[in-house]
Amino acid sequence: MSGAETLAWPRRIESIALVACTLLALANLPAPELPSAWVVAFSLPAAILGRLPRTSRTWIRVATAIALQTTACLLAMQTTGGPTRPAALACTILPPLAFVTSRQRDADPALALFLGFCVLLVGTILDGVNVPLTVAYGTAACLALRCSTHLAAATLTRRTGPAAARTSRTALPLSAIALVLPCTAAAVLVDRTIEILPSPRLGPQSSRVQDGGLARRSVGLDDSFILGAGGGVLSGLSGEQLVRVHATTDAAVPSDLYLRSGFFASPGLDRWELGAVDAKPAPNGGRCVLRPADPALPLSWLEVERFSGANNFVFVPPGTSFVRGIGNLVIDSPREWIRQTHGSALDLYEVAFQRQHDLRDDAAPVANARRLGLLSLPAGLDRPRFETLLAQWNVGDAASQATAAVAAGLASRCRYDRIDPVGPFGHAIENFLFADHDRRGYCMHFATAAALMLRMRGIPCRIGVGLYGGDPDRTNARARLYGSQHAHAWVEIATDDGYVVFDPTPPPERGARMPSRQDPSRFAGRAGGQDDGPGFFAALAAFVAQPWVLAVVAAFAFAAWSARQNQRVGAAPRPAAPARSARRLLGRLLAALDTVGHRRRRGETLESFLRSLAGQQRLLPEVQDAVIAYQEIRFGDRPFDDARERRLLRAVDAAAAMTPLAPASRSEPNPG
Amino acid sequence: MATSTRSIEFTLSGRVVAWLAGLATGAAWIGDNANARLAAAMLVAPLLVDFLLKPRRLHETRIRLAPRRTVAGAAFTERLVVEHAGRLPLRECLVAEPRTMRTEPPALLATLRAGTPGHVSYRARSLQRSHIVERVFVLMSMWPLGMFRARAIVAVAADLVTEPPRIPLSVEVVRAIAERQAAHVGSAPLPGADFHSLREHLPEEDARAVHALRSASLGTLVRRVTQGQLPHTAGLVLDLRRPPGRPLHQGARRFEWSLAACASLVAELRRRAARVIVLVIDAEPVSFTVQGPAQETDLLTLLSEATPAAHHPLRPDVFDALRRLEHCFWIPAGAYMASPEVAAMPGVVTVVGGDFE
Repeated sequence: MSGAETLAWPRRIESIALVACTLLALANLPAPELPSAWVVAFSLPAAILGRLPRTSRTWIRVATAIALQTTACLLAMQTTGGPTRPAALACTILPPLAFVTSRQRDADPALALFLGFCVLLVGTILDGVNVPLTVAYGTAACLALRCSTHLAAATLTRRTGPAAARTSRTALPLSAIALVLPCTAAAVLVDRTIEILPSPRLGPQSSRVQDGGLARRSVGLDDSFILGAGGGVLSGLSGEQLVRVHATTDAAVPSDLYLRSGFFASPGLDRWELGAVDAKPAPNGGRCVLRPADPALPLSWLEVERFSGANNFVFVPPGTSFVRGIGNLVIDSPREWIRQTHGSALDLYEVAFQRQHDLRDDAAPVANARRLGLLSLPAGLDRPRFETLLAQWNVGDAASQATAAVAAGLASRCRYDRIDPVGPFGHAIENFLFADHDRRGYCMHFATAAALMLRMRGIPCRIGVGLYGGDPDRTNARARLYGSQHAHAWVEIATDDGYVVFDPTPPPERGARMPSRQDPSRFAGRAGGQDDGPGFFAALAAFVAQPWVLAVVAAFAFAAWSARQNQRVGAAPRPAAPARSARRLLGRLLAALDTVGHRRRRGETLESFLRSLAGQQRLLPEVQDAVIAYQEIRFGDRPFDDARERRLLRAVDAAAAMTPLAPASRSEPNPG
Repeated sequence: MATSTRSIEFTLSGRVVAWLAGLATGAAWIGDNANARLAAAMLVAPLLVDFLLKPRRLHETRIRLAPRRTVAGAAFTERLVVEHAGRLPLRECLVAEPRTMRTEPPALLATLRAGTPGHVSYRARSLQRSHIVERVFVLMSMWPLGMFRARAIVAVAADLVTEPPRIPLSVEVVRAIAERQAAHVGSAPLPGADFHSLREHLPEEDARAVHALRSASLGTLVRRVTQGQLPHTAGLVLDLRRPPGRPLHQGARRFEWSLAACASLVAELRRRAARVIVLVIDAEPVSFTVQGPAQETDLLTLLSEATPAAHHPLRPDVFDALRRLEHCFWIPAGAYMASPEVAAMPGVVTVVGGDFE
């Protein structure tokens, strides 16, 4: 079997693995945002171009490329319309990916792997992680890397012997598959490690909370929120796009639109829960009515495009009458709660809603507020303190007056910050309201404080959670994009007209992202209300005391030690004991020569040094003989016996007896 | 004595991936972004796995090979016995000897199980005249994912004698050799030189002179010796001394050429069954007679180790063995052309390389 034949099979496997990587990366792109027609339009011409023979002239290739690309774009335009923004962006990376994948010459495989990885990441950013596809990509990439390494070694030898030929058909795929498991484990390990490390972006927080003595994550998509530890229905997300909202009329989507995904009605001092929900399946295919529309008010329509990160949440504005175009819903109409039983990516549904009335003092309280749990207060609430505050803020029983007073009071007493409140109290809400100095918190703390105070005044309310604000969609002036960074919490006051939004969070901060990771223990030492910013040294000490910092320092120390070991071993192998003895005598000889004016320069070899001595007619035969004896011991594996020792000692004596050079001659030793 | 060192270093692709992984990890940590975390995980994973699975005991590899004698620049096939003493088998290991494989590709050792000797043969070429007693091999492996390169340098005590290359001798030298052979002592009625005797045939000699019948009856190859090819004794002086006051490190080209000429001249004389008395003027003059393969090997070993010597006067008795000869070749390897000893030689002296440029 010739060398070329031997390498043909690994090359074929590598080629298949690369194509698989590219196809998997392309498959990971979200089809609705990046229609397959455009993917093909940006990939196929480049792939064909990559397969053109080398002999083709440049102008033929250019003309072919232009013709193919133009045709492909026209066809894509006709089939799916104009390119979306992701499609326009994809045209920058898909053609080179397809080109190098199909050409596979020189460094093309490595470039194809890298570009494929980039496309995979783009797909993940747009549409979330598709685990099977990602794992499949990893497997194919492992196989490609393995083949590439094998080919690199085999190509370096330029010919492969029989042993190399044997490593062909089964060994390569098997070894690659065997590597997938450790690679996956390593990837998970790295992912978890980075996740555990407290990010500087979120401040000195961590993601664990002590609950019943066991540390566990409080974030997630469950209908609860732990105050002081972060978490909530949307807090497990980190920057994903969730929905795009279009206005069906000419008017743009208002920037102050609240999009509710859920609510909390059952309070606790540290935890809000959804409370009782009477969820019933909604009929599929038709309208899903949440509340009857008020004929006196105009009905506004919104078109909500839901991305995969939103999972099974159905985002609707407060005041929604009905939803249509989405199936598998469960609803609780009295509570205006709606949810999908299982989420599907890229749902599009329509929402009809009415702008709510402002909160009126004469609004009748909802009749069954107590049954709905809208007036309950957490057990163990320190009512006197709250009452004191309520009295201080002149909070009355009328809803509009109460909300205004509470909002003003909170604005004057507390400040917004995206970290948990700290203080001497055992509960976050108490630290938020009653700490001596630094009373701060985020929207959930404002909403909690307001909801509890309103309930204490007999005003039924709950906390609504969802999205607020959003960013304008650059592709559509009438649409807004909402991501998990727009997660927000507010208060909803129950009236006969429905749930009216009251947002106690200061307006500039509304819709600022709720932190997903909190660690109250980080600020335990600062309880008691210190100044706004921690002292530099205290912050430094707190930073250094973190276990991960110590771990990183230990890892660096180990790496430095390991590198030094490697360097020591690689640079100068430790001579054997006889050689060390000979080296000592050689050192004496060189020292003796130095005293008479012959200093060996740094890095100069012994041979060169002897030549320089000979050039000055100062090379003694004894010295030359001693160097030969040393070389025999050092490099020739000869023993350091008496004869050689005598030769070295004789040279030392001879060198010591030499006439010293005149100072003028010493300055520049002859390099020859 | 065999010594070894080891190291693990990034390959080019590993370096790129490491940079990307570092950036992604930093971005994931600072930005607390799940996508960046995924990117970091996918980039770090192959680095981590490759680093952990990399063969770390490459240096615990024993290499055995026979002593070798070769001519500078000549290709030869080296055969090694490689035995790995580590715990895990070596995979896709490249074996190279930098000294002899400058122009040759390394050998690939696909799999070498621990404790099981493997055989490697590769094409090599020693370019520099030398005699080394320790051969150095580089073992390298990028298995499994090629992000890191494990490298070990293994030194093995084994002789490698690289003789000077053979060069064509000048016409004057060849003519001088021919003239020194005995002339015909008589004329035969038949064409061709007169038969003188039989002698053993040397492997490198022209086979046309082999006496078939006598070879068959004796069981060994013998050849005819005619009157014109009577064995004679030639003198050869190889002067390694540099001229007075000249540095040792200069004139390397002439020196190497002279050693090659010396080797070629001896080979030519031996081909003509001459006995050669060689005097090598080194720091300490050495004189010996080349009259068989063993002495020829010794001389070539001496030539492979030769270095220019500083100028020094010679005792007159050094040339005693040569004074009896009618003809002598003198090779001034150290470029000491004005040697008074040349003029003092009683017989004819042919200076080889006198016009070297």
